[in-house]
Amino acid sequence: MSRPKAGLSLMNTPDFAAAAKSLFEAGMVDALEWSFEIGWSERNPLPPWTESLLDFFSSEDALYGHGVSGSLLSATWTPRQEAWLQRVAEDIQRWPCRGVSEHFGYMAAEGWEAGPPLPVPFVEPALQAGRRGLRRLREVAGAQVGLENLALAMGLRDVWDQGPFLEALLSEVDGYLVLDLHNLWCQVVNYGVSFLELLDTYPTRRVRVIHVSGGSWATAAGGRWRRDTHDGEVPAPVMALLPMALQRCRRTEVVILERLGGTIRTQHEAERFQQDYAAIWEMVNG
Amino acid sequence: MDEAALAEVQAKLMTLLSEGAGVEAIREALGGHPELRVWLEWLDPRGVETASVLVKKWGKRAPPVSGGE
Repeated sequence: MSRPKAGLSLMNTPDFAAAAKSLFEAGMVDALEWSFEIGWSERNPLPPWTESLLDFFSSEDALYGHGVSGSLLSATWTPRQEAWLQRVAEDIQRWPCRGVSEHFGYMAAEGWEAGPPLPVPFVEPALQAGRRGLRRLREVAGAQVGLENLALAMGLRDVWDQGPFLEALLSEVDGYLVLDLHNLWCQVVNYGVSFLELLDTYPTRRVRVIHVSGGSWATAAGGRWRRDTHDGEVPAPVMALLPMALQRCRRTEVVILERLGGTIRTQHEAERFQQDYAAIWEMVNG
Repeated sequence: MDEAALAEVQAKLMTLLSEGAGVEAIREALGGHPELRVWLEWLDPRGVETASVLVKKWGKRAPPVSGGE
């Protein structure tokens, strides 16, 4: 098994460009993940440097596509999703990807065109809807398709069902799992469960991509609650999970650092972003 | 439960969350589906409140493009 690579989730914002520049120049960025929807804003067309990076990493077979708003587990397949799929297809035609993934969960329903990704109970029609969504995505992807685990659990049943649910979905298309360590850690700290016990319920043999990111603390119903906000540095306990995850997930191709564009506001935050990436890079190259 | 019933559940859940419904209100509204019994039993007030906050914030809009909540 070859050694995993290290990569970045590409943002098109000046703060990301400034913080990531030294990493690119040092040749430390082996791969990129691209969230398609970033390029769809009419108000903010992609800057040339973003397109150049997409051109380069796609030509190097080191680009991973990642959808956000496909809502593959919505019960019904809608014209909005069909339009989403067509735009994804157009992007993939321009920038072929090594893999194309979306998120577990649903964010659209009748009367709700978009929203946050929400968990879905593990019931037969949800399984069939998700499988249909993955099959549709595979038709346009030209590559293996996958799903990322969701951080939000509305109850303990969501925590323990998600791994088996993902396996049932991904087995339909021989798909891959994008294992987001921070998302898993959110469930570990919010519900007081064991990381390794929870990880062992996931289809670790399907993991090709690992996400590492930060988030934030909130208060919910009077209790402390960890959220997947992508707006902070990687917590030390999450970084400490990476070696364990790599040990379990032997087919991992790439570890991606995610941070939302516009959230690297100070020089100190830029340095922390670079340190987080360097820590990942050293783990996969060590 | 069939696809139409799940579609109804998903839409109803988003509406309930947007209205700030708590665990008991959700159990009452969706309790007619036996397949959801265990899921409803295990709902956690913190998870429900967080989902509610998110639906109120992002409902009808797109969430952050990097895939966070």
